[in-house]
Amino acid sequence: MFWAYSDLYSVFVAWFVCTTVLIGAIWFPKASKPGEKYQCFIVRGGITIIFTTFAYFGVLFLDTVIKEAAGIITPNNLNYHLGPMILLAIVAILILFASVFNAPTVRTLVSFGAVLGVYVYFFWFSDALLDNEMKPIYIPPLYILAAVAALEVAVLVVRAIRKPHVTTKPWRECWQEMLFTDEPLWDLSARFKRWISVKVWVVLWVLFSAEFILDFNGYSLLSWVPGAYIYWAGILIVAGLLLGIFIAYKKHRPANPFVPPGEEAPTLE
Amino acid sequence: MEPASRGGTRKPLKTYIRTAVVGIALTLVLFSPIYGYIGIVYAKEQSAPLAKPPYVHWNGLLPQSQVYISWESDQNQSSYVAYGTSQENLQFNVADATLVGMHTMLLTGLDPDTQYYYRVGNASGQWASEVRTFWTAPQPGSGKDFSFCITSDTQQMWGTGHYAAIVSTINSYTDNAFLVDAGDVGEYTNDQHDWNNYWAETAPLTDHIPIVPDPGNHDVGDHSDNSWEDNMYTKYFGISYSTPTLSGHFYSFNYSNCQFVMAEIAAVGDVDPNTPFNQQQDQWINATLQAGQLQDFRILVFHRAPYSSNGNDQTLIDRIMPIVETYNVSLVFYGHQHIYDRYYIANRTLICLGGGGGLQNAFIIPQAGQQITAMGPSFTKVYVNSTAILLKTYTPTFELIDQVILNKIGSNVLPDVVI
Repeated sequence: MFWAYSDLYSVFVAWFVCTTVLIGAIWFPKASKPGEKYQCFIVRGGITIIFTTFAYFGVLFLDTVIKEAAGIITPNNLNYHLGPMILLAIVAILILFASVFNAPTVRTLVSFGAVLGVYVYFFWFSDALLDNEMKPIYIPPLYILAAVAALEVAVLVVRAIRKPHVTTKPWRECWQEMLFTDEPLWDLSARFKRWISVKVWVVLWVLFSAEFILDFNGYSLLSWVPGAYIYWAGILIVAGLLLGIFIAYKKHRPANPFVPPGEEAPTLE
Repeated sequence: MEPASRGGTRKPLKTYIRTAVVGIALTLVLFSPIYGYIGIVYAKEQSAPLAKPPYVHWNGLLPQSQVYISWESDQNQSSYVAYGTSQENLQFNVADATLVGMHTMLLTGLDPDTQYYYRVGNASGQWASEVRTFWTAPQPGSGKDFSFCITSDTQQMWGTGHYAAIVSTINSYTDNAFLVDAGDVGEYTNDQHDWNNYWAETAPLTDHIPIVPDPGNHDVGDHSDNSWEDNMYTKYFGISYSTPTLSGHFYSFNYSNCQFVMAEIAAVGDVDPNTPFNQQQDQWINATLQAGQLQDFRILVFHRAPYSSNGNDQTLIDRIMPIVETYNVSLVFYGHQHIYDRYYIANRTLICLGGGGGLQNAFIIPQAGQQITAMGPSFTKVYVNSTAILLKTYTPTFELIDQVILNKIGSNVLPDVVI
């Protein structure tokens, strides 16, 4: 069953994602600061649930962009979809990075596998969501959270069996050691903190707010640009040619005849 | 020694309160685009005036010689219409001394294909409008070229929606014979403010072109009770078909070489072919289309969607497609699903015109026979001459979304060019 959740509805969902991120930044400021973590396991559990749901929305937004770009709708009014598609692609990459690929543990990646599994089932092989436009927003996340909860319980059971002494500790320490001591496989948070900062989310929130108000009024952020795909095919061809020329120039730049091979050109300093 | 709190030194209560107040304020700011925007458009809807300038419609009439002129006043008044073929000399008039708020006056004995001017007011000589104009329809079979605009689902939930943008773009044409609205004219069946807003937004068109409406599920209920007639749609467009055994909002008219059949397939209960009303209406549709066989083209308009990229309605397909094929219907227009779709099925073209004003659909599901799907605001401009129908679908920024020519080949109308 091949179908897409429209970019116009996805814009509303993305607006709620941005709003939730910013509300989180207001009430739980440590969550957005690298190296700082909440100790309360309820807060950490809540943040995990929210980010797992965000990962689902990230996949949903990317899927929408890919299906629409692949031609499920006519590209003749591309100017009405270009703005939402660009914004959705950006926010999808950001939330997937923030929720999964920033500093994933093995458990994070397994949970993301559950997200992908549930998504592929509902959006590629099932029509169970097609009788109500709200269902894609809340039904798959419920299945995902159930799957992730099952995975977490399995992890707890395995760890309790392998490290029985931990279960004898006070319950706070026990939870801490059982659930929050996994080492990330990699950690890119310091390198990419500029891109997943509150400022970036504020900008996205403003753009999504503008986009959905324009949608309601029959316009879009980029509805003033040419709409027919033929214009954009031309623009992309010209841009591709210029990029190719630039890359070729950088790669095959003629050597400075005044500098012997293997030496750097002298500077004025 | 005072025990240290978990977070180090305990902060004073005032700091917590200040943090909470700032947090709540910022959270409210984050939601301001939604409640701010909806608040503004809702206030605009609520403030749309009850008094409405006059508009022309011809539901159930012969538009070559008859039209209704309707308007609404905010106080009960008598009704008076002065009209004529010259703007300076409105030599004819009709009057009604009954004091009413909703005025509907029937003009008869008009000449076909003629521009009329009119002005409305009351019997005391107070005018309620400037001089406005309309054209009567050309004679059936006259073969005169004409064009019109068609859209659907112009409904504005709480005043939100893009109908005003559509109206503004349609208004840039000077050659529209009329505007067809294929249903869901308003959002709320009995909400006066909702309909005030609809008329306020349609006002740029109603001063010079007639409105040709068809009811949608947001306009009327089904015929199992009186909800089909007890609504704002009836208030503003009347009951177009009324006999002792059958009444409804369906009607037909001929315009030049084209027959228009406006069916009432609006509410959920209007789909089932076995209800008494639907059986009787189908008999009327069959008889009307049979009578229209001498016309070059037959255009069938109703509201609910048999085919759409939100899913097909097999019951409606089974009911409608035999009629479409038997009576060689040239073109089928409908709405209901908020998306633009064009289908070519059984050598017939069917178009879903859901881009008139309401929020667009959430789902895009490719279907068999689908030629094009476009999400976003749209309306369709239709040009008719004796050999072809040309359809052009645009966005409010005049981007051409879809274009198709239906050439008349013998008794058939087949798509010849698809762009």
